[in-house]
Amino acid sequence: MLGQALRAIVLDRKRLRAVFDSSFEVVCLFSALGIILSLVFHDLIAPAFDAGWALTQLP
Amino acid sequence: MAMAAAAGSTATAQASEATRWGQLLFGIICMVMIANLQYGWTLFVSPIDQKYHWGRAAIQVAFTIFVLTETWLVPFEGYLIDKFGPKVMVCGSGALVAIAWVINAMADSLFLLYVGAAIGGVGAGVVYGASVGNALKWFPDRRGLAAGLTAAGFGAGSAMTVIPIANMIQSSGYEATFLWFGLGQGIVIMLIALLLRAPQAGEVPAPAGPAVQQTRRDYGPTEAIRTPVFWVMYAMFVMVGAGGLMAIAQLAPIANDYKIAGIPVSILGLTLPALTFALTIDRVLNGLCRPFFGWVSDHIGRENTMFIAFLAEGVGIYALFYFANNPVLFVILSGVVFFAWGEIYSLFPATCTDIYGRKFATTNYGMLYTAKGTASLLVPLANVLTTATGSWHAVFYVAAILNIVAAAMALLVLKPMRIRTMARA
Repeated sequence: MLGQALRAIVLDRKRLRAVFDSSFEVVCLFSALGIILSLVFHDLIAPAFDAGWALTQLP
Repeated sequence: MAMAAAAGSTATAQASEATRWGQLLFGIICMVMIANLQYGWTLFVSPIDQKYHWGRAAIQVAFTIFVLTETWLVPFEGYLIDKFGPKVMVCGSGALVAIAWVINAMADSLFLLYVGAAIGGVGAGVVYGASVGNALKWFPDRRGLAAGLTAAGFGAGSAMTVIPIANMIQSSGYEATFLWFGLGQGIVIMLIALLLRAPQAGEVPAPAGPAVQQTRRDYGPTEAIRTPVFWVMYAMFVMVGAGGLMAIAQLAPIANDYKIAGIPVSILGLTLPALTFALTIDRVLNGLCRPFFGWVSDHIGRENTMFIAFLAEGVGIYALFYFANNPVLFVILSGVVFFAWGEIYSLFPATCTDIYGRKFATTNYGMLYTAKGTASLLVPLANVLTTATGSWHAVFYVAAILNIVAAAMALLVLKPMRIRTMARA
């Protein structure tokens, strides 16, 4: 069962690579890290400071 | 044609001017259509709160979610746009833009409102990335102007619809406004998307003189982030972006400290209270400066233009610090600050594509564009300074210094690094 699952994952990864190159993993990582770090910041750090402005003022 | 040849595709005849200006116009229209998702949001907050009493803070979380998804997913979306072309991606995102506001119209829980915001952010991010990316690809000879006009569409787009939206909220309720504007914006994007396409090799004209030197090959995203010059640009983007936001955040405290906020100021026949005047010209000048400085950079070079603009903003912030007690100078100098700030959205995409080529222009600029999100994270830390020092003075010094340092970096760091990187390509 586990072997089948692993094989499916590997095969899917090969199929995925046929469409997307290694750059795809980089941009996914870039986007995911940014969102995670931003969420951590917004939830844990930002509430400690009154910024004096709101995101709605972003240009 | 070195760049086009580097793309590795079959060369085709050069496209007519009408074709590429048409592509630029389509991108600008798409940008106008997503502008309300960001700039029109504030109009809906109070009506939603009046109906459901969720509290403004909880409702504004939806906007934070929108900004996060709109900003940070652009690299991922940009990759798909570069891979599959703008037509299919923008068409799909038009549907997302419509779905987002239809969800908002029907949302009877905060969870649904947040889901709508996330979907809207994804849709808007694709449109932003595709429109700017397409402009960069079609106009290697006028990249600054093209990126600036497209970015200005995002800022200026809401100007046309703010009053109709506000009126419709009053007359028909916010739900109907979300529904019909959402459907309208989404359908326009989907129709325009059918006309969008990226240029094939040989379709774009050869870049102009040495002021806008172009790379000889296309860099993939992995290669781009491995070059130091990418991170220098990222740092400069954050410095200028955060510096401008810090200055804006302090406008109200300054006006209140000097007791000039309510003093009427008349400039060019328009009379408004000083603070309202300063905030009103924000959007106009911030939009105008994008194509203006982009056009300037096409003629005198990107780094030279960055030096002028960032220095002007740094000096403007510094001057505002000293002359803000005069209401007229407060309005004029805040205008200078706004005018010299928004060009980051035309100069950086143009520089990024000059260096890394057009094949992955959307992805590479998408990664650089996330500096906007990073800058917004840094701004609250400025309040630590205000709290520690007891006034806004230190924040102003920091904001001015950040811009002046970025200006110096443009000539002393970015320019030589960019030349070295291009020479190695």
